[in-house]
Amino acid sequence: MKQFKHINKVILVIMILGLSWLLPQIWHLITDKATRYPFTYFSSVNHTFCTLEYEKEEFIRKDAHGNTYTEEQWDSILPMFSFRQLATDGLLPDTLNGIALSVKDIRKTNYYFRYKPNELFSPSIPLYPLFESMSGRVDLEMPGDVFRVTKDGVEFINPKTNKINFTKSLKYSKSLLDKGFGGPAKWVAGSPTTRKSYDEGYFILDQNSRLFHFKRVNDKPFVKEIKIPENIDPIFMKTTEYGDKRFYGFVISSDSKLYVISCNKYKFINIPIRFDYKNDNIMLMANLFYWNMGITTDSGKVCYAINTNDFSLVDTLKYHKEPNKMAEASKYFLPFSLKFKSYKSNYIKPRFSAVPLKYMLVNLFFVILLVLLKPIRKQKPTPLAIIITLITGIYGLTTTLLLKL
Amino acid sequence: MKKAFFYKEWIKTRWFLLAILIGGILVEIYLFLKLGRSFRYAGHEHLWDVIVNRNQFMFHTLKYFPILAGLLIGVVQMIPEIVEKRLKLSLHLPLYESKSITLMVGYILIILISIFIISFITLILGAAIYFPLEIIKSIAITVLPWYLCGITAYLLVVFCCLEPLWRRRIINILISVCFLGTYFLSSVPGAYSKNILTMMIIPAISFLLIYLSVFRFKTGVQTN
Amino acid sequence: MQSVIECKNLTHYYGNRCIYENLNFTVQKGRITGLLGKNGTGKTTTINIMNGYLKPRSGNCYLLGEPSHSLSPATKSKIGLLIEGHVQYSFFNIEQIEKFYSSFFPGWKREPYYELMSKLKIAPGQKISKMSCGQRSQVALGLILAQDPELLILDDFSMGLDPGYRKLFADYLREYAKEEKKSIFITSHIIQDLEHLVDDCLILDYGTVMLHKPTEEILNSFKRYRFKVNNNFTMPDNDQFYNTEVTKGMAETYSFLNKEEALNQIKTYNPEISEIQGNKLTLEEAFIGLTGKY
Repeated sequence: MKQFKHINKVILVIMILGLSWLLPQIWHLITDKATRYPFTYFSSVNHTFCTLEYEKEEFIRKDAHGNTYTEEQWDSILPMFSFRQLATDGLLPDTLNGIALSVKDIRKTNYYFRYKPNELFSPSIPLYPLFESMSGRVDLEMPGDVFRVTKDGVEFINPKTNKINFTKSLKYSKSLLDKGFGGPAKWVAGSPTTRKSYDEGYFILDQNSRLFHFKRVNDKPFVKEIKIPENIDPIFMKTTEYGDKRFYGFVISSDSKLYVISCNKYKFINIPIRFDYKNDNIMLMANLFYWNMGITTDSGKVCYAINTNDFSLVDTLKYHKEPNKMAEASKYFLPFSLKFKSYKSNYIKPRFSAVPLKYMLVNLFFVILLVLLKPIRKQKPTPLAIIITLITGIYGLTTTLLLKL
Repeated sequence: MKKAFFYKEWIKTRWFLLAILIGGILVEIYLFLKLGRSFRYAGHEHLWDVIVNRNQFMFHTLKYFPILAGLLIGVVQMIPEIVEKRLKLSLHLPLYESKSITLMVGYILIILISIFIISFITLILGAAIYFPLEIIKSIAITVLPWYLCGITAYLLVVFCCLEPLWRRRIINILISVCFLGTYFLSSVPGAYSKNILTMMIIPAISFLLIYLSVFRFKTGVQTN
Repeated sequence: MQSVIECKNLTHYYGNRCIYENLNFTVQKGRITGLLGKNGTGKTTTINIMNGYLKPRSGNCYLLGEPSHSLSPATKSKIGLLIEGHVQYSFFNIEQIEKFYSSFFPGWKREPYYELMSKLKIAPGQKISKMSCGQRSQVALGLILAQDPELLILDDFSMGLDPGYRKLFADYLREYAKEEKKSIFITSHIIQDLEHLVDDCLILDYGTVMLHKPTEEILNSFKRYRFKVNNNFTMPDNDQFYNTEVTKGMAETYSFLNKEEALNQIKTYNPEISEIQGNKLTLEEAFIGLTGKY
């Protein structure tokens, strides 16, 4: 039995890890505060960022120059945001920046796009319904089957029978193979919902990193290879199917660049923002004149105003995250932490993070505390207890006290 | 001797193991009846759609079966050993103590894992009637941690029961709760798919911990 | 002579409370030794150390030459344990339990077990858990007999037993031990049961071995003496006399001295005393005489 004595050390490690999981969580539970950034929208009238903040039970409307506005003034400088109010009041200008305005046009070009890392880092089931893109009906209908992408093309499976429709599969596979498709897919992008105004099918990246546009038109396969510019390694795509039919979707490359694929010859257009696809959220509010893009990172938020027509960068506004004093304080006594969940991923897995080494000096304090506790504990701390307290701080100390090391 | 150990544990636990097996079968019958009703209500295509595109998982009820089975069989096997102090008898049998414990725990593990495999295969075969491979894979990877959790639960009950000191036993129970908690951190189907290895390490560690408890029991630890 | 149990410098504490320090004793092969001691003198501690379920703070306890906390399987098979309360696998019936144990011991003898079982009035297939305390004790005993160990360690065999069963148990055990030349180490809280069973008595007092002598010697030579005294008589400290008490002009003391020696000794304290009365004692009385009533 003697050899099992050393399993005691396993308990030590387990307890330290367990505490580094629990204690930070409890700390967060008690102290976490939401970081709020002011609502920011780029004015198509003054061509400057305007912000809306809620402070002391009052809305404060400002622009980047420090001018403050009433609610009515605010509406008038942000006609693309407040167009419904303006239209109702009959205050919507006929033209703006030399372009005629109508509620219909504004609606068509006002759209939203969001990206969160957990969309990419998420388990998914690779089955897709292929809608009829040209049904002639206003509403899309479920196709009655789903397809999977295989080595040799696609297979359509009927949910009623759970069997493959070989004729259909063959027909669509042939079209893909004819265009040089080499399955299986690295990724498939599309919007598998009938709640969209039209359907553009799917975009499939094959094993050789060739991108194909794949859809069903008049019950026939439509396949088109899209030329990817050389330096782009697309890892994620989200199709848009927006009313203005300008692009097929957004593409994120492995070097964290954002592109749109234009409906005009499938051109890749870079959107001039900086972000990290593993960590940052993207929020886009588009309008006829500007794309309002907000990139939320761990350290703050950057707002970009981008020209809707040529995608040139017009202006940026940075918000720094107010340092959370409680989180800052925790660095001194929570030297590292173990987490299984992350809002940046839907996968559960252990994730370690540690504070910079300098904070670990505080561990000395815990060692002293341990020594001072001697009369109460009625035992001298063992070298092991001192070492683990020195290295792991409060976790080691707690473990020492619990296990009476 | 191996046979004799298995014979003893068999006599002791057979009815409970049978109850677990029947429990597992009933859970699956329920799950498939419910699935059938969902197909009738929602239609095949719609049900596939919500499974694929809206993270709907059809077999959530199964989540509790392995952990309950593990806890039950652990309690049934170990609590009487401790309360009636029979463990001393088992450890005095002419074998090395570690071997005696390995045989006792090994027997339950073999049967528990067998029941879990039967349950798992039935589920997969049943699901294969209604769903394509992609959904089957998602189901498999979603339920696999639950079964691992059941095995871990059993081992941890043994770990806690064999510990001789109450103070330490409470610490062990807390450790066990943390261990088991890691299997229930997400309801997203397939959330553990990148982490099956860690989820397998946990039962392995739990298995090791049993020997720590036996060692402490043998040494008659009284103070820490 | 060969020793089957050897405790060397056994020291144990519970927390800061000392149970004993440097306890030494040996038990010879072929002897039946009874461990006696009042509550709290460390009987259970000693038995636990012997059974290998407690590691002493220091010192060693050897059973058949091996340290008790790490016995090899071979040695374990030569030692029969009766755990306090006749603990057994109670989910078995008598046939199942015999079948279970038989595969562990190469020299398994089923006859003495079934002989003992045949005397019990139990239904075939009756689970041990459904038996009376006395019947259970017989099952536990029968299993130890079938195991045919060299050394038997029996913890409080009389616990929960009717007088009849206690007698049955003790008689059976003695007969068996003498016939088969077995060594037995036994404890009981009913000393009366040990009187006709044990060859040697090992008496523990707080912290030490008070006495380790053949039972016969104790019964023959340890006596209670009574004599008349005046009220202010006190017995000086003397290790020849145990637990002297004076009540209402009567003194009572215990000693291994014979009547003559005792009288002479007492006379040196108080020449007025001319006559003492001596009594032979039962083992229980001797135990009380040695260890005191309190």
